[in-house]
Amino acid sequence: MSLYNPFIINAIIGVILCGITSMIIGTLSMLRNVHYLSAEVTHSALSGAGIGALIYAIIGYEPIIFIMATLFSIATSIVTGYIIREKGVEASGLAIGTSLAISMSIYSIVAGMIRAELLIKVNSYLISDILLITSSDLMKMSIISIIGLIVLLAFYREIIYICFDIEGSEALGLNTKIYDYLIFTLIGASGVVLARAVGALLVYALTIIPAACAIELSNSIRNTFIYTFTISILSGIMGLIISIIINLHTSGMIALTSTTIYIIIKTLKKFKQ
Amino acid sequence: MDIVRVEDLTVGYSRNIVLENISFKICKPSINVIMGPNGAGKTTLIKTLIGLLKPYKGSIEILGFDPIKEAFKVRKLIGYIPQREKIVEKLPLKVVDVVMMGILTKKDWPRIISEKDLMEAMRISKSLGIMELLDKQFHQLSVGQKQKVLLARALISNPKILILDEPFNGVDILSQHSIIEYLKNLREKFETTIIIVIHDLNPVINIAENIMILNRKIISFGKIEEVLNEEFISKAYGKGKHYFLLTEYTKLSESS
Repeated sequence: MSLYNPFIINAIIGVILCGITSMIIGTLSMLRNVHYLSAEVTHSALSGAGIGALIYAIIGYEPIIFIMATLFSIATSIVTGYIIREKGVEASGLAIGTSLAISMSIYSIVAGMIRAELLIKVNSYLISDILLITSSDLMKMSIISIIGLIVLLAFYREIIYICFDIEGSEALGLNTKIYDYLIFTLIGASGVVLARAVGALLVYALTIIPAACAIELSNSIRNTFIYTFTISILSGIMGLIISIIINLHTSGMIALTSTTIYIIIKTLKKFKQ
Repeated sequence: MDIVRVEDLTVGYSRNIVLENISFKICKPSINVIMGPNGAGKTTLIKTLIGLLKPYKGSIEILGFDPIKEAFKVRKLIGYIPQREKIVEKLPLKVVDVVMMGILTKKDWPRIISEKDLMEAMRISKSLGIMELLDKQFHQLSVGQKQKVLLARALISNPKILILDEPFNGVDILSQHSIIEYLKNLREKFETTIIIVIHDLNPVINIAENIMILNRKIISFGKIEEVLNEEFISKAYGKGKHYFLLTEYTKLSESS
């Protein structure tokens, strides 16, 4: 397969966008101590896509599927954020579990109500192949990734202060409510990009694993973001190349590559100690 | 104008009342210690003073401002050190970044660091003896060093009131001593009002001017000699438990 093949070019752009969103969702979930949220929001995107497909069948406007997936993903993240703020981070497990159950119930019901060709579109949020990303998908993913990146850079300090000491930050004068919900909105919005690119089932390998690798390697928060981005892109490109060479599912190979990188880093660190 | 004025305060979490009918005043710059058994509402009280918790009933004034309605003004006047357990210490943050938080959180977006801010950070770090730590990672410091860094963060904006929540937990005796000396100096030179929540009175008994014994309501608040007696300690900690505490405190007060 040639590098100039439009599927490959789209996949490479997709990998770069995944790098940006993985940096946002993975690092923020780790720093805010809500590791499981990334997996949960992408499952919400799946149920949102299901509802979007139902609406699409009525109004005939296809982008509604992505829009609903995004809205569901962000809404779930914000609700989880609200529960964590009210009940403490210990309550996040239950909140995430409940949201996951609701999302999957909605998906199951909707799956039985829509036509087969629409179900394929919805299921692409569950298991996706990055080689099948269309230019229209890339456009939507780019909008979210670029907005997410701008917001992260603009409010970097505030976000870090909240992750470090939310109570102290509020006492010092920071409006933690706004910035904390901004963190959860960013996680939700980034989740939908990754769900579209690699599917909800594999999203963990592109969110938490690169961030976990980055935390092992970095000595500053800025570097944690940069390393997460780099490891995510490295996994994406390597996974893409290997999958083409040996003719395997690309997104699965990307996930396997990132997991392998994590195991190598952990093993090398252990030997070094 | 009173520095702190609390009238008929009732506060709690999710309809569970923790503190009821609390009234007290701090009229002049002083070192005030709040003590009481676990679950007495000590942290709840200081969180309410700062405006982090909204009271069910009653009123609070901090230098004439309401901490809920005029939160931003109150937070400019207060320096706060939360319990260390509330802080995510594993984050790879440099000490200088933690200290700068004290100034930058009080600025408007985009919170740019000025030359003056850096000078302030140097000044406060020098006075606390943590200059050489500024470039180190916060999570690599000892507990005592971490507390000094948090103290620098709280004091960098020159607050009128400093509130510390259990600042000596896990802190070695030498660091305790240097923090206490610093607080004493702060009170004398800059007339800062200091409120310390504490489990163990021993480290601060020599500098405490007023002591509040709290157990969901104020058992007693006043000078050390008025407050530390069998009746009040028994009321707060339960009968039979007063003897040990009282003997310890009496010994310490006499020796001081």
